[in-house]
Amino acid sequence: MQALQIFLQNWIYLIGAMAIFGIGLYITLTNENIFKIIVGLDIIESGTNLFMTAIAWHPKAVMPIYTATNQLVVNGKVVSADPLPQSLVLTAIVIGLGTTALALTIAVKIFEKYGTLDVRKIKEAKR
Amino acid sequence: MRNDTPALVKRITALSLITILLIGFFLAFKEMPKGSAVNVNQRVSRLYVMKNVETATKMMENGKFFAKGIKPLRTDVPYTPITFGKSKNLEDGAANVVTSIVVDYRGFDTLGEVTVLFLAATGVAMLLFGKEKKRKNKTEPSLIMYVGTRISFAIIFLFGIYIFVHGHLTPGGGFPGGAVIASGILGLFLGKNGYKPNHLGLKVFESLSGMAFVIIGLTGLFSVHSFLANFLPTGVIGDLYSAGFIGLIYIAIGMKVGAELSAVVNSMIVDVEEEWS
Amino acid sequence: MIIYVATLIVIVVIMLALIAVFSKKLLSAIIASGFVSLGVSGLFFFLQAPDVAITEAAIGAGLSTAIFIIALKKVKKGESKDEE
Repeated sequence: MQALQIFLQNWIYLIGAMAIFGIGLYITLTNENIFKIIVGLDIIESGTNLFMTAIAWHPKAVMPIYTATNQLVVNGKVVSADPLPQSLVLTAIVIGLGTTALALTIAVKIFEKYGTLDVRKIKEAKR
Repeated sequence: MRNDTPALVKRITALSLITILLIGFFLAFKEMPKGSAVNVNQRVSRLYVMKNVETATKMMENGKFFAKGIKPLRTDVPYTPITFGKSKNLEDGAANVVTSIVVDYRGFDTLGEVTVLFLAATGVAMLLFGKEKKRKNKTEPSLIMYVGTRISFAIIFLFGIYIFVHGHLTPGGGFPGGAVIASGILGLFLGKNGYKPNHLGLKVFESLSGMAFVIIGLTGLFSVHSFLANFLPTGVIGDLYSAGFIGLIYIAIGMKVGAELSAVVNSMIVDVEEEWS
Repeated sequence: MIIYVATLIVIVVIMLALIAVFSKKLLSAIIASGFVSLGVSGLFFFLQAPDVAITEAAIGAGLSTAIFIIALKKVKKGESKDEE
């Protein structure tokens, strides 16, 4: 039981991040519909954020906020989770929303011009 | 690949590519410190948690910190313990360490990030530009929907303001606060057919808050020593009026993000006549 | 004990992502991707990052899904043609 717990603490978030990244990449590579490709990019983004937060965590971590009962520094040693990757992820999520909105707008414009969302038919379509 | 490649071949190629990539990831993760082996005391981030960056920088300038022996991970930086509600005049008075990194230590990155968001919103508005067509939905939303969204909008708006005003004390901050406000405006769109917010007002509001960010940064440049330097007193840690200019900047960011995302939702939800493409 | 709950959430999130792969309709793929974001935000809370969790729940699971559905409504005619 102890060994299983240590294995899960070391690996479960990394396995989850890898699996989500792989599934998103599979969607992006195999689909022809532009909307499905953008959904795949969204899932890839979730996996990357999960990975970057997972490397900041250790099993005895506390959250990086000073409160009345939450001690971040005990005997000169920092016991909180690493705040730097968390702040990077915080900005990455917001930029992700902006790029997703821009990509969706371009997809809508492509549909208005060519009448289809299939990337194979867009190549062959007459102007 | 060519257009007429069979779907099966495509899938098998994608699967093998992903397998190779995942094996590479796995080999990289095996060497990495993870789980109980992660030690924040061996990373630079401990300086942010201890609020001790200036001392370390001074030691680096004196040639003591990053000396020629290259020991960036030494632990003997002098440190005064921080107590919630008692410690005064710290280097950075925010109780939330993530906020102090995002706004204070790495504020210039946040300025660039807000600029990227502004560019994305401008791109959406530019691509969907045109004369507004009358929306003709088959069904009008019911009276309960109309009244309910209007009442809940006030509550949601207040909650968004609460989130970004308390950004330096509790989890949250300008970005989720702005997103919450934009969700409230999305609710108003669902409540009434042909609801029109003041688009010009949103743009002006957003530009003014963006300018406020830059002006606060320039004030730091002229009054202290560098762009986006903290020029207000950092009070007792844990008070509402503490942490210097972090509260002001998060209010500016919250209003800017809220107006920007509302403008994106407005541009996407309104049908326009085809003018150019 | 909380690590077992996290394991359960990871398994659920992976299954939701697989739903996004194999669904024929675009709408179900979009909804599944929104739920992936929601589950990942729960994992952020277990990883001691409440700031990131609240941001992901507000933006990734809320506004992003809404913008997807609004854009899908604009191309509704093309969607039925493209799906086989």
